[in-house]
Amino acid sequence: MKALIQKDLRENLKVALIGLLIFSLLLLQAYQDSITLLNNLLLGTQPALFNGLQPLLSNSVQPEAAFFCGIFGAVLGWLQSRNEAHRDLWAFLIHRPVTRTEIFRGKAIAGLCLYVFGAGLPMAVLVAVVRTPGHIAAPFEWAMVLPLASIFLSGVAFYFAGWLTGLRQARWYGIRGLGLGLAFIACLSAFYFREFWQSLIVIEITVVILATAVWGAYQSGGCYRGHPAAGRLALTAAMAGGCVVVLCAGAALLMDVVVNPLSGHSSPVVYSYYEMNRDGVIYKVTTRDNESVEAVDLNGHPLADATTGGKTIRAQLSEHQAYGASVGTQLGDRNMALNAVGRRGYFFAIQKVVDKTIWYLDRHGKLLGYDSRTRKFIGSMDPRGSDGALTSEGFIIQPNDLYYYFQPDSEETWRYMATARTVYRADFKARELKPIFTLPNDDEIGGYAVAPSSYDRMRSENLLITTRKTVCLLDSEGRTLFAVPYQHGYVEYPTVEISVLEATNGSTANFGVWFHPDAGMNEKSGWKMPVHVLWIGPGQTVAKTADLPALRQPEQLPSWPDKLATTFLPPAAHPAFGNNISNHWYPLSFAWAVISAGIGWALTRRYNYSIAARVSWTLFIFVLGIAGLLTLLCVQEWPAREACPHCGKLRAVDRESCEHCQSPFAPPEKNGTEIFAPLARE
Amino acid sequence: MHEESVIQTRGLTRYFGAKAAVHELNLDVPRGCVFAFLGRNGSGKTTTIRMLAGLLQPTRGSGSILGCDIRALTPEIRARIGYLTEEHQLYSWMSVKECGGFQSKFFAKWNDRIFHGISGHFGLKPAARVKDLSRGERAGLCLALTLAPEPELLMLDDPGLGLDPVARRALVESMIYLTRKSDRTIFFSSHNISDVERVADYIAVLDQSVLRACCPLGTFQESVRQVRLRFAGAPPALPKIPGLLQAVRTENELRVTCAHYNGEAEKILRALSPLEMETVPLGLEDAFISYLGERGEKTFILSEMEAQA
Repeated sequence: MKALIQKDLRENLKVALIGLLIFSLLLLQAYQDSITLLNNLLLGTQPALFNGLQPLLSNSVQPEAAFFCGIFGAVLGWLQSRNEAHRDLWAFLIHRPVTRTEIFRGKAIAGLCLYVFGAGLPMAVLVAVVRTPGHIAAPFEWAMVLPLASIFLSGVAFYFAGWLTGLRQARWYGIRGLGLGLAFIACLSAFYFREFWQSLIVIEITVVILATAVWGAYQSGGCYRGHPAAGRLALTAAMAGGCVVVLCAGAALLMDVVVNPLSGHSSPVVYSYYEMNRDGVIYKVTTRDNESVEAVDLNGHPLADATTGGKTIRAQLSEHQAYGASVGTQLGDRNMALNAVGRRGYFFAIQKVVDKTIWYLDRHGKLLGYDSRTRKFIGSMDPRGSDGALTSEGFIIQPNDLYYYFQPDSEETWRYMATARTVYRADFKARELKPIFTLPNDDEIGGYAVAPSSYDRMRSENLLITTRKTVCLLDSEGRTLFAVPYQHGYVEYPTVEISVLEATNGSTANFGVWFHPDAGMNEKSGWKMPVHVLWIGPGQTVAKTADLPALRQPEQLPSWPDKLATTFLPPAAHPAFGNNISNHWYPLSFAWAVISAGIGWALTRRYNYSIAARVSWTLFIFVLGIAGLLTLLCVQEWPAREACPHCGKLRAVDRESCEHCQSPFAPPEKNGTEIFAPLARE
Repeated sequence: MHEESVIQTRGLTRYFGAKAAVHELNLDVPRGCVFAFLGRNGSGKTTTIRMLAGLLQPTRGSGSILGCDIRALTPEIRARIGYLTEEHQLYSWMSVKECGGFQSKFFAKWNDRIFHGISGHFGLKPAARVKDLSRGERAGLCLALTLAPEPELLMLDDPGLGLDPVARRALVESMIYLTRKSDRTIFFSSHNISDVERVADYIAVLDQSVLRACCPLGTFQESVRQVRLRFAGAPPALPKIPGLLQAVRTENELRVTCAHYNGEAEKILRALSPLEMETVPLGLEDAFISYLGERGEKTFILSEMEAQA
């Protein structure tokens, strides 16, 4: 086996070297991009996509790495079989006193070594560089390597899929390459799943399936016939994965590129919401595809212009719209919300850039400073308790922190930061945290947002805070401008909004406070949860309250071609897609599955499969629908059929006897020229 | 079943699509012989050898080689079989020495002397790359790689294909050298009848995927006979003759080639009342060509041919 490994290593080293070069250049480019991004951030000329500051998380690196690992793995695997594609060279390889399993193992070891060399080495070097202080002015933690690691591992699935493509003996090359579809699923899992172990499981399963299929192909010379049972199952699974992917992609492509544009089907998104003007008057705005189409008062009458008496146009509404702030209250498992939104890509957010120092809030709630000149970590600002001692508490990560953009907003060198019970004014220039507001022990901050403090200078120095019990507005010194009980509970009403009012036109209120229901719960209740509004007057009193009828959230209704496309999906995939596909069309999908299963049954009966095989295939097709039928057609080899001279019925030539009458195959007809004589050793 | 058979097939059949490449082949190859496997292009020789080597799954039927089922050849059995493919393909980037080194690591009975002896016989330089070798040199290298493990059974698929006469002779000499060991068996396919005549003990002939002959070489030669009949005028119409392979009609002559020429055929021919009737001895090549050539009657009467034209 050692000789075989050496042979394959040497045979494909060139490809691995080319891969190494290409991938190194790609990663080098990503590294350079992060340096450029850092410079742009310091210049403050444009919003920074701050994930790009850490090349491991860069939005461009992961797709590029996935693209590279997929292609490189597939090419490497394909070449390993392609080199012995000539039947005589295949014979030279196979005809030696080792088992085919050993040949497979030897080649797989060599191939994987080359894959690690071509794709793994550049990644390892990049990781080594970025974790060495002085290279990247952004936080590093080992978990950042996991997204790239899962992409790298998905390339192994492509490696085996490419190898299978080269080995399979199918007439049409497109069918040979169906294993690549399964590898594609592995690659998708690297992006889709929140946890590394989740994608790892998917990748492992696909790698095992594809590797077993390749192993089986070595046993049978690439044909389905002669595959060991495990190999046959794996090949079927690999082809089924490919068929599902091809079918889904084909249906989506057909609908998006051909049917939808031709039929002109696109359903508009219609959305209504409430707004408050600076006088504290509420009106309802309706938008269609993000364009305002209607503004009515709460009685449904179009808003009239106060001066002209005509219909109010959107520009006028905007001019007089109350500014405000909104807080999404998150109590309980904060990490869950963080993971749900940020997935595996979220590790840090930029808070401020002051004096060439970039301040990050990492996903553990730590405020970390990096010197952009030395690109080294300079220290952290940690919250202290009331006794002045450092606490282990992390700062709350706000939903806004989960966006990947950093907008160099103002000249301010401070901002509010909050832990679970204390609000700090963080001065990044002086590098100090000043506590301005502390909750009692039995309460906890659910969220906070900076709110406008006046319309005169458009300053935003107030802070809206929601806690377990109250909603309050603080000024920059931590003084309470108002505090009202958190009505109706933060679970049902997690979003709190304030509108800053101008006490004119007879209105005495200073603020409007909105309690918006949770959209999911509201939908479940049949859109019966109203929006609660409070008007806060002078002296922190509640001047007025109102309950507004719930407004349905926008719903993108699928067009009929989209629905039709979903019917091609395997019935088993419908639950996985959940609400993303139309359940109304499920019966049609089911019907396809029944028809496909019927065709499968007829086919397997025609070729006289055993009852067990017929039932298995029919069930398989029923579960996967059209994809299952395609799998049967792709995987099986269909033997020729010829008329049985005994019973006259068509019989498959690969049977030892006629499946109908059990008569054996007749020997070739004699023509009288036969010369046969005993062969005796002289 | 032949007790001494190293190769045995029963009803071995292989289809490619709807076409049978090998049809119901029953073959026994005795141990220690040189067995030639003959047939025209596309008659199924290579397919048979590939099935025997376990490289191609039979569509139906069975076969064994050195007592092992051809569908499940073990490494131990493979070590006892030398298989030379028809196009002499090797890894083009390897040198002659590397080829030997690579192959030797797999075979416990690797004989370096044989490898160097044969490669020397073909004038191969150890440092020469396979891609730079001529076809004959590559064939020699393949033969050296096949013979060096000292196989008990040698299967050669048209080993002389594309070789010049000198290279082919060198190859045949190597085969003769190998058969000096009495327990060795050589099973080879060829289109070169003179080579077959020189080395083969037995032949098997495939005609359009069907085995039509399997016998000692001499038996084949004796079985195929040509009879020349001379007539005063145009030869009469030919009656049905058992074992008729070919009949060539000229102005006043009829040449009839038969398999199993015997008293019955002679009686039928004499009934045509020829002026003269003689049996013409056929060489193996002529016998083989007659055997595998187009069946039936051909006319070479100039006036008729002109009229047809």
